[in-house]
Amino acid sequence: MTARLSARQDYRGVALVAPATVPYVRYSEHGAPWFIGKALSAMLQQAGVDKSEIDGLSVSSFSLAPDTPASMAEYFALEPRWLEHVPMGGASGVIAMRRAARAIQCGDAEVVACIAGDTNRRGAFKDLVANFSSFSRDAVYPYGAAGPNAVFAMITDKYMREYGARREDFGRICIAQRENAMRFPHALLREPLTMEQYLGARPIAEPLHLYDCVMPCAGGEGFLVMSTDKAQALNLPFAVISAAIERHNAFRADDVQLRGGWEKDRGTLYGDASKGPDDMDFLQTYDDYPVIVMLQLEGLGFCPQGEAAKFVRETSLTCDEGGLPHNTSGGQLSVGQAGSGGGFLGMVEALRQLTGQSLGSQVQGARTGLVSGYGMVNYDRGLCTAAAILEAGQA
Amino acid sequence: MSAVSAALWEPMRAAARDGVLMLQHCESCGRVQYPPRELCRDCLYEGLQWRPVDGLGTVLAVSVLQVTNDARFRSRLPWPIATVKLDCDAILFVNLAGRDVRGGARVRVAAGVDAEDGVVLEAVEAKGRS
Repeated sequence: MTARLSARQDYRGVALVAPATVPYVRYSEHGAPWFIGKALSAMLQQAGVDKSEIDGLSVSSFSLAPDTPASMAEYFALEPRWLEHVPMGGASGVIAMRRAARAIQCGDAEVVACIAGDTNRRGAFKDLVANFSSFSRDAVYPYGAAGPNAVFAMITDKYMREYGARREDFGRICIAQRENAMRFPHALLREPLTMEQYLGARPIAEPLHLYDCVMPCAGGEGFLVMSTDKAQALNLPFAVISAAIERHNAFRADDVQLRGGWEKDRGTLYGDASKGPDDMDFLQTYDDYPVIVMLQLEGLGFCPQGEAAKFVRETSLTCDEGGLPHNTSGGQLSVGQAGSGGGFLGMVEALRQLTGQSLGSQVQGARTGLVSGYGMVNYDRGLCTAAAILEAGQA
Repeated sequence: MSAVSAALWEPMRAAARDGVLMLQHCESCGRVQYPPRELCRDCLYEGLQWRPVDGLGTVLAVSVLQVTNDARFRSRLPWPIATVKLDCDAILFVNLAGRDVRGGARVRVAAGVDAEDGVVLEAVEAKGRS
């Protein structure tokens, strides 16, 4: 018994269904519950499941306070027997999925709705970044009030000096994602982006320029987690979890964050899935800034440490050129960053790709994909990292 | 700043008013830590002593801010900032005196207070490389 409990369990029998997006808007006068409820409504409709069947609820939101996931149960007349709060920003999608999958396997819930929703009132972003954590409020914000731009400017500056990456290399990531976004109906930024425009953009927090920075917006994302038996009974296309990892505050002795927790756990990730980076039909990374995409390409073993710039020079990142389809909906850099919805964007898009429900470019024959998360800049680096390998389920 | 944070930062702020940079030193394991915490980050001991440090350190990374979220700071743009690792091992966000300081430069960090009596740290390139 003890041995069994201490061994890492796989995620067998768990299905991910009904990927839903509440269309993003730059600003909204709605509250966070509007986006959470709209996501839930879209998920239920897509799955053909009645609201009364939702007995598990996981909520991620930065703009819900003073309300909580419990508030959402009352707000939407739900009676969950399992309730979770995943306040881990860009890592929320993968981590909500991990938690919910265990609840399904253990019988603590039958249908879990995992939802991220955030509103964005005019002027609200300033308050969010000013009070994101006590360390950032007291020890970062007083130095020019740049919010996360300041932290990621530092990481980008160090990365460029350490590994010789150039602005053009970051530009390649942004431009490929824009190309993907041009076919994705929910993307807020769908105008073509050229290298000339990218390089000529106004500086924000040097070395970061306009197109390196995500645009804060409002929106919602969600998916349902249930047993594969139930998904099959409902005749729903589904994806399954081959492996999943998370790690927080990895490599804390590094002076500047040039690697994240992925490097610590990728052996587990690929080992559990019996797959490697070359087996991935697509990659969805957390792209609050392109340098963080590079950290994930390296940390997840798509290229050696420090060689992501070379990798993006040599590899197509769009959907249809036989390279590595990456952030196939356009990612946050083109779709927008809907608060913690940004942490769900890659997960929801991966589920669409694997269930043949893409709203934009469909990666042909996508059977296996990797979703990566990164979040929570508490002081000078993002603390939360997570990743999952997902596969198309057998209907 | 919350009431807890205000109390936590008060010794550092009081010293900064006199231009002295003080940081928390753990009486048990010797760790110097920043931002201030109520316990030692490493050994979780609560005996933390505020002691002056010389402020010498190395620039980790720099940025020049061209955009700010706060109207109070707008007239000061462009605004160079940096992260500095002090020789005593603490990593600080600082204002940077001068735009030509790069990562790897040796600097001395000084403490002062801003118009709202909050601690503000500034790094100046150290004369003569060590």
